Amino acid sequence: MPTDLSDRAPTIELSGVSKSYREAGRDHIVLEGVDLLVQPGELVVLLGRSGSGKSTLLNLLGGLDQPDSGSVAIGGIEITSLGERDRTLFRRRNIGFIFQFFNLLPTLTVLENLLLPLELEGKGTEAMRGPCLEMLAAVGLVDRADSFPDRLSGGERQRVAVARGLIHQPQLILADEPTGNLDVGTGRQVIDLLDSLTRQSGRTLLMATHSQQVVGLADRILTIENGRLVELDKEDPA
Amino acid sequence: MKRLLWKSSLRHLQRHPLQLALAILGVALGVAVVVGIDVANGSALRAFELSTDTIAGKATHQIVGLDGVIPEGLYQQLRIDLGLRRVAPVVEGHAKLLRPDSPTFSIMGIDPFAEARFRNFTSSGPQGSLDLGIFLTLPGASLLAAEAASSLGIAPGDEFEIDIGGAVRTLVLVGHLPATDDAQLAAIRDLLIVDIATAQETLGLVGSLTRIDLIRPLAMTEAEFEESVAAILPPTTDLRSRRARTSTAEQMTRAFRLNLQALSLLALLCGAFLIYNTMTFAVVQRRPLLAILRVLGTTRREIFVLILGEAVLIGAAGTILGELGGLWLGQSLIGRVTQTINDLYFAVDVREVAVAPWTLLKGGLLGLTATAAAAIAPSIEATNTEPREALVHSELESRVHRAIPTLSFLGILLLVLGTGLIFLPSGALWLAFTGLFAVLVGYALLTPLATMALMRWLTPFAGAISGQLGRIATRGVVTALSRTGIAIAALMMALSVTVGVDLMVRSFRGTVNRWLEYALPADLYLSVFTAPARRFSPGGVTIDQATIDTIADLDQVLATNLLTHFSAVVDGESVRAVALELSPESHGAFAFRQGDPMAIWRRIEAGEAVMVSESFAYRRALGEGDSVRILSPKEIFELPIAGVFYDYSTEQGLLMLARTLYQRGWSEDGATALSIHTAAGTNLDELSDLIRGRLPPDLRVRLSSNRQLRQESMRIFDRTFVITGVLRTLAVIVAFVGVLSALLALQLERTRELGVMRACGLTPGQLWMLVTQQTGLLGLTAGVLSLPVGVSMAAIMVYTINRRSFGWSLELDLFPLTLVQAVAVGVVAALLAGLYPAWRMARTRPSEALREE
Repeated sequence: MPTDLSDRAPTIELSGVSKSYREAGRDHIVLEGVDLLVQPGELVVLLGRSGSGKSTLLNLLGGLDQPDSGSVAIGGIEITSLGERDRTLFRRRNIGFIFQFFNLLPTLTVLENLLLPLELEGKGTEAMRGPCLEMLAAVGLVDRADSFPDRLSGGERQRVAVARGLIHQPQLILADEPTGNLDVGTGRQVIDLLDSLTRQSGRTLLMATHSQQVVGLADRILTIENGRLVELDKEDPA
Repeated sequence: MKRLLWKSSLRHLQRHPLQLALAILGVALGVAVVVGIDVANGSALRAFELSTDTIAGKATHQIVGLDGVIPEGLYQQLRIDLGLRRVAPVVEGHAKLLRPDSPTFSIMGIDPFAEARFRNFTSSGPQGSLDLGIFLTLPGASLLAAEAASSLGIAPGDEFEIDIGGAVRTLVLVGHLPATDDAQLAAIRDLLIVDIATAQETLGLVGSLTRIDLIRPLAMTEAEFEESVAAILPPTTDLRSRRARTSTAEQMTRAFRLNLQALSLLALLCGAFLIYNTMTFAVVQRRPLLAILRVLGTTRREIFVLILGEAVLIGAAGTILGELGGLWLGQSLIGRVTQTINDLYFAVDVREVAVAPWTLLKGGLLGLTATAAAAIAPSIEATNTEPREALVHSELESRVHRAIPTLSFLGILLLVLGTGLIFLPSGALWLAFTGLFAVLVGYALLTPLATMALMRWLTPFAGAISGQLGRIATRGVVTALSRTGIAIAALMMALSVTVGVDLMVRSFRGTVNRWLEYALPADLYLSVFTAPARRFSPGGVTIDQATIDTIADLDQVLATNLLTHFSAVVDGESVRAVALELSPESHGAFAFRQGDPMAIWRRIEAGEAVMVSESFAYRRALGEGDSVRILSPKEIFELPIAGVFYDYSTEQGLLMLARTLYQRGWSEDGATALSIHTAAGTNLDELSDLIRGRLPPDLRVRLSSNRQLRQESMRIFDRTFVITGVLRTLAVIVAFVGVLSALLALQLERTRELGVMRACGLTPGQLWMLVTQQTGLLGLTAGVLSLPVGVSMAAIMVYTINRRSFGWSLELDLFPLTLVQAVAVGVVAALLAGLYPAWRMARTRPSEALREE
């Protein structure tokens, strides 16, 4: 099963993707015939109000969910044609997730939270301590390496989550409202961190948000309206 | 498996130490009960095997009398007609020293000249300083193990008195039995060896043997040997190989042991539910965590292995503790098991705990298998965690609600299948137990549906009593059904086991009590002093006709009934039989399952037919009108069964015939028991004294009034069921641990929800009330649901399992107290289990409770 991405292929390639949910006996269409092409290294912001389908799109891109129709290809690999196990292995290697509610593992220390994706990939945890500590230093939390998540502030937790999302060097980083649970100042810090770390390493970042403060950093701005993806003018997104 | 996944998992368990401890305790208790029962059963059988092996020595075969005795002439025939040289005659019985603390001794009469090739009892070893001349010529010469003799304070040369089935005899210790190893030492500890003539005389078996031991000549094959011996055997004897011997003991106690094992498995089933409960909670609690793992790329297989691995770890810890606990429990239960075996089956004295490796292996396998089986469903459930559930929290409950119809359907299917198995026309006990287990699991699967229905019904009442809080309490049970359903099912199972077992024992007791009401119509009962199980052994003393006549002549005596207990050969099998001569006043002692009692009695008394007990008929698939072939020393009787009577005195079954027939076929005149109807106003104590005055001085009898005998019977009954009571108590403890574990997990899991309520203005007191109400409701639901399940279980045990085990018809009595008790235990256990979470929640600051991670 090919799970390594091609450097030349677009990072994201959606073709005619549709997704609906059945609620109270009725089909609720969330995405309808969505097409999208995102090139490597782009920072794409996905705007939209709550319930517009941002998270659904992220779930489809991360292989957490399957579309009703259409195809999703990441780095040239069509993940919609992969089985559940292969999708999981693909996600493990190539995608980094950052959530609004941090989703750190409360039973692992900060350092262990970073080591886990590497261990899942089969990389020796002892050998990976150095890179993890470097990453923690990059997010300013090297002194909290042995703390458990419940001892950290919200901003610190999100910085750990950013570090964890990037530690295994995924080609695609999916961030779902990463500042939604933070104050404006802390949110700004996290966004700057995310921007610098992804741009440094030339990775693709797709960030779902309804925060306007991120817009200035984006290469492209997209929004979902009535299930369809619409690209906004970067200079005048409103 | 990934190290960090394990680390995360272990830390989760560490962070919930109470839940972990309760789960381990649940498995440990289940395993301990199974191992304990096995150790007790195994020790009793091993002791029996050891003593029979030592007593049988090197014999390859034994000839036994189906009616308990063998004519002495057979021994000569074997030596002379068949030319067999390695043959040894044996006369065996049981005796007690006339001392209050004396154990029961096996008395064994041997021929020292024939013995040497079989046993070394009369050899002169380091302890066996025996003068064979004295042993053979001194009247009452006997040998005891040195240890037994010194503990009883008997030195060589001392005289001592023994009681053999009511008769007192005097013996002299002339030497000690030699023992070469510990096993032999243990086996001879309760052995009393005498010369064969002394044994015949002492045991009242002059002219008879009880056994002949043989060693097959090397020149003959097993088949040739058995064929040649069988050719000269009288029909009342049987040739048995060494292997067949222990299996007889095993078969006799099979139903008893199986019932104990099944009860212990019920405790394990409760333990398994506990594991299921704990692991399901572990999964439910960690659903968001598992979802994060899935997002990070952990495969379903890895999650499955992780959760199952955790369960196996808990199971292993519980199993090790359970094995240790089981050894201790087994040691404590040995006395109870041995007492019951002695009361009901055969004499055995267990001094040592025998732990077969298989027992520990079985306990270990059961513990781990039960744990793994209980954890498979939660493990699969864990693998179904969708990664996007890291973001969506509400999906689980709706999925559980959607699964209710399927669960209920499966539950009904299992109920139907289980009932089908129970009613399958087969005598197999294991089928009945499998059916019972299927019914129990079927009911457990119906619990969510029943809980929803009950809560819907209770909501208006709860609202009327406690307002909005009451409604929150009942609705909370339904909205968190994924967790409450399991907690209720686990508690319901454990409670139903206690209801079922309690109702079964009480019904059994009630039936026996009612039976005793009519089965003991006389005022005074006199019997030779012997244990009930040995009453049918050959030899022993009887009350002779002259003594009977002097008693009958007393003015206060209106009528006497004579009973003689003996072993008869019926259809080629050894059977417990009673010859009776009853006055019409005592006919009411027997209730027949069908037919006109008057007509039945007429045929019995005329010697035209016999009557058999219900268990006798059940075991041999015989009924009214069928014939039995009875071999007596004088003639063969082919008689129809006139009636089948209810009897709960022995599961082996009884055959009863007229005394006239007994006198004709067996040429015996004495009786082993007498029941006496007295004139109105007779002082029974005075009459007892008068009767004792007319008895021969060396005859030891038991003289009891109707009331005393009934009390004694009930005492033995209760003693038999003490072990069941112990198992029931253990099941209650498992139940309590179960509810504690379930509710603790449930309430602790609701920290955030309760934090929201606190934030909304609920006072700590109101919160305490809410938690208490909800746990009380869970306990009440489990208690109420346990009633139909417990009653069904009791009905299955009473009507099917007891019948197949013992052949008895019992009546199911619904004791309201048992039912009320179950509900009360459920509620109290739930309330107690709710105390800690309620206290913790009430103390927790809302801000803490609301923290996300």
